[in-house]
Amino acid sequence: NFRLPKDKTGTTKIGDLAPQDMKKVYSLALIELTALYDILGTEFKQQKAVKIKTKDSGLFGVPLSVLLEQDQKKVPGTKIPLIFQKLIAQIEEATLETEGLLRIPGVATRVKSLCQELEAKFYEGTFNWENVKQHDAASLLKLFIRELPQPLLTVEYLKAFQDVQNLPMKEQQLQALTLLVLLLPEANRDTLKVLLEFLQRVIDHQDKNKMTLKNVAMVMAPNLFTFHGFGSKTIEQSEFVMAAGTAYVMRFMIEYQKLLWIIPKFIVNQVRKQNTESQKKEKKDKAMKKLLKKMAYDREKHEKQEKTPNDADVPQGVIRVQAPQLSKVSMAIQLTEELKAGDIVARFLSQQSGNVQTLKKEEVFLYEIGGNIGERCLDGDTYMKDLYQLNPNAEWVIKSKQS
Amino acid sequence: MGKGYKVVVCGMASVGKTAILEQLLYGKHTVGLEEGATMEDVYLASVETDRGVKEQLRLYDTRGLQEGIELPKHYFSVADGFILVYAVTSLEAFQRVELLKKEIDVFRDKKEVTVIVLGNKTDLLDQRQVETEAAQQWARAEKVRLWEVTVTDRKTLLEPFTFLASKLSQSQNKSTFPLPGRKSKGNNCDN
Repeated sequence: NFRLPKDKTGTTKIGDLAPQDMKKVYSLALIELTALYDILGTEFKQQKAVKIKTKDSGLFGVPLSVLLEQDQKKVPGTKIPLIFQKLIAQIEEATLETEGLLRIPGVATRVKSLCQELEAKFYEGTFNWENVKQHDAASLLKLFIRELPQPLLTVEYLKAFQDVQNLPMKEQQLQALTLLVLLLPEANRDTLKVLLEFLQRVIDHQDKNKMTLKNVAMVMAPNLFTFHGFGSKTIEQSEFVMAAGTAYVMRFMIEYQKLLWIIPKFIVNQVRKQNTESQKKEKKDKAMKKLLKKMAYDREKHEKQEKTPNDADVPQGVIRVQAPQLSKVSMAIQLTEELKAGDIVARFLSQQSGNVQTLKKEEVFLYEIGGNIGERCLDGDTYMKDLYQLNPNAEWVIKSKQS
Repeated sequence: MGKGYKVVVCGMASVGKTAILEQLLYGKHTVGLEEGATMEDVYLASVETDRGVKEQLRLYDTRGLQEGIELPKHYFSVADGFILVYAVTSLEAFQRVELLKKEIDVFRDKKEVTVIVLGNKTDLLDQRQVETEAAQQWARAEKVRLWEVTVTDRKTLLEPFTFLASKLSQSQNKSTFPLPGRKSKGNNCDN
């Protein structure tokens, strides 16, 4: 059992960064992962995606992207397929205390007919969920994952996910999984997250349902890791070997899921460096142009040019936090060693009475914007002084997530 | 930015500038709750004028002044209006307000600027140092409106702010850029 050391500049979760920085994170993760596998002598090969004919409508056997496209027409902003959400909700509605939940299969014939009925009626809203038995719903959930034309962990990285078991140290395994999660397409990543969270909730009831971490991992692994699209026919025996290994990876993912969605600090810092470099270059280019212009007609004045510090009205160690959505729109705040991002948000919200503001405490966050990062949502435990030193040119804005 | 009137709230330290604003905006302030000194906070308030129109005010809550600490000069150039605050329990605070008024006159002698004065903490009867009549007399001489208020009673705060908003909206001094182009066009015609 291990956890990440607490980072004073705050943890960065997937989704905290702006898209332009996420792109950089993606390429960095790929480089890091390749290097990690290389050093440890584990082969890392991105499998080429095989072109498979896929259905372009329906529920089962439909690519995630197609499903989401359908769903977004129904419910704008959907990030996880509705059928997937519904199946999980259906299982949870009954009770998570059922013994052998997820392990005991539904009745095959019933599952099959349910499947057909769902295909026909789910989007119509006429499907009758009341008669769906819990084990059947669990079977449908597993079926859904299995039937995805491209595995949830993607064709490209499925092998890499499996190979995590071959890394010698737990730290490296965790590192590799974190990077792999970063490399997944958004839809896959979001769906995986919901699944892992659900599995954890099942495990939380292990006293009653007897589904321990090990058991859940064992039953779920084949659904996520089996994929026959590689062409080569795997022999039964190797499948057995694989099953044990993938159950281990599955277990690892469930157990440490909280850590998997944190972008490693060194990657965030690398992004900061990249941004600083590119800004420097831009500045240099501009400065060069300016310089040439100046030299052309005015050499003397150039010497006199002195920079007058522009920050006279903001003394050292004071940041100005903006909150355009609140009625207290701005606040100058003295940084202290102890001051955390959560404290600043609290200071803005302390006086907001319910009738004035519809924003809820859980929905507003302090953001670090600009400087050497595009945009980063800060977790409440971020020490502001440390972060300020890391990114002195940032602007600080309080706003609600996704607006 | 640049939206609404900019109003600078200033005065001695701990006369209740922040308390007045918080009470006015959110209707809740616990008396005697020391929230720590303000650096500079900005509030956006929409205040109804006497003609029923809502005006937006950007209220700059400034750092409390102390012996030797002046109000930073840049405030004088940005402000459309001032709220000078003192506590009736402190003669020193009142003198500071007199001083501030003079400074405002110096910096903004030609431009139109609305000033109101608030004497806070009238609830602390037995500690009063500034007499109502003396203060009003000064205000009349300076041609500014003065109210004695207390943050314990929100109603006392409404009138001054309504007055301020009305006064600001009457003056042409809205802090937006004057329409460009008109003049140059006119000139072109003349030519």
